[in-house]
Amino acid sequence: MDFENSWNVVSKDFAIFRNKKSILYTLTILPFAVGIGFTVILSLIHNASPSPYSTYIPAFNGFLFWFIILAAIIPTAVASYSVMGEKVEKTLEPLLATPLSDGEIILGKILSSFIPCIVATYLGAVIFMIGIDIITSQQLGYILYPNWTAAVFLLLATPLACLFGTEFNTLISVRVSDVRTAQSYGGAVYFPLLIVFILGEAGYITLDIKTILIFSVILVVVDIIIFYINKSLFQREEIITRFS
Amino acid sequence: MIDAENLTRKFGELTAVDDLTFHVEEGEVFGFLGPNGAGKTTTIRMLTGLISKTSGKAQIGGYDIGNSEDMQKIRRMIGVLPENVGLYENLSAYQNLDYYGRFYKISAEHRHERIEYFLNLLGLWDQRNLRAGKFSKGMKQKLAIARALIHDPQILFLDEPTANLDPEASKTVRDFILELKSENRTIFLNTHLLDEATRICDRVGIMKTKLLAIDTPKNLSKTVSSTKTVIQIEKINYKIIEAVKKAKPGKVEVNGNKIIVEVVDAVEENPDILEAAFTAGGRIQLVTEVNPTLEEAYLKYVRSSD
Repeated sequence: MDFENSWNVVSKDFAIFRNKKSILYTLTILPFAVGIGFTVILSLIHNASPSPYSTYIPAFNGFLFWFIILAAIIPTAVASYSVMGEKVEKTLEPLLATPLSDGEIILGKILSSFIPCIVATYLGAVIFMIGIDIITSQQLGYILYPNWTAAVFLLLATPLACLFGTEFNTLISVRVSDVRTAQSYGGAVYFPLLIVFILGEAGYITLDIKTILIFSVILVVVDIIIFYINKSLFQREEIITRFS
Repeated sequence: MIDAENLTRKFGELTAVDDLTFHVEEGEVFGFLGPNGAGKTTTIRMLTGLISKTSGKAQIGGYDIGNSEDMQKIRRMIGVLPENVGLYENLSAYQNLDYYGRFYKISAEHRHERIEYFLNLLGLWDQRNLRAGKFSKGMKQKLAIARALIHDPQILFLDEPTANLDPEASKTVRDFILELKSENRTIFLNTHLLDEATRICDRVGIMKTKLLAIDTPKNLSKTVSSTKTVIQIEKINYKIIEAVKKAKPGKVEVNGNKIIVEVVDAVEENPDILEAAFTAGGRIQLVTEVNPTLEEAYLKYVRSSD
């Protein structure tokens, strides 16, 4: 596998994304809205029933978990376009006639969605952490973020969840024939993560470092499995005969 | 350069390509003619490794299309213009070519040189930074041909290269194909435009699932009819017709004020025919030669296969 070939696919997709307003909006507005939104929500809750910010700290992990969910959701828009765009514009036939291997195409497609999505998620998380620090630091007497909990949530589980979302959506996009269908099915990626969040909020599990580490191990296994499923389901012949 | 032996492709119960056997020489322009659904595109897709064969063998430049290692070598040797040009409409013409050039490990400097060369040659250099989506059909087709050539392939597969183009754009593409031929590239061309095939192909194959005939356009044309001399006479009468029939025993037809005579060697036979008509009192207005066309041969073979 030649990584340079995959990176060439990534660079081309980035150039296309720069011209696609819908993708640019998804990549910027959603993380900004979540990052600022959570800070505002916390501020409003505190204003309604003032209590020490230290009592909110466990709830902050719940907010951080939303960035894991966000990292898996954003690829629904980006990854589905990345593969479906090729199908819609009928660009796969000339691409498959080049010396590019299936693995290089799949890796390129996964990276071209993963990179902007994870960057966008981190942007939202940074906005959230700065906002929380601004609101709470005076009362707490220290700066809450960054800390180890945030590091495990954001640097370990978030990229794994983003990879999960990207791979899952790539898998769907390879099999279906239009962007809307791809996005509808791709949205299913939200449910397993939401269940973890609900279990946490309901008190069945605690969304702490230990839980997130276990969750991350599961995601690693799932990501590896989906990559190989992607590779095996990427049937050149079917793509050519069905979509060209 | 291109060899196929009993090449067959089935899609379930449907046989799209049945038992093709042919050989294309290096530097030859080989045209595949056939109606829609004849299996032309399927054949190109098999030969370029985009889809697999059901049975039979095929080699490109000595490499086997069924072998995955050979296929990588074949992909470096060939350039493909698919039926749907498949350009990235949100990328500029330059970006489209640069993207493909990178897959063949062409250095940045050489890539730029080649892009500049082809875009200049095809009259697109001034539009190099314009998005491909803004291009006309003809411009897109030319850009897709440049893309197929970016890595300097020895063998080109062109699927309907002038389909849906206006006459001027068609001529530009045809002239460009002839220029590629002069560079000794092997060109495999799918078309249903018989005039195009006659003008640019060294040999043609007529197919309708099966290969029905294969030869030069001229030889194929001769298989259905011979050259005809058409004499237009001011006032035609029985005496003139009989005189012509006597001078050239064989197939003589009369259509209005025209006598149509089948000839084998027009230069040798025409003087006697014209002299007979003239001596019989015929005032000759016009003499034309009608050669058999590829269209007649094509229709004969395609209809006979029904």
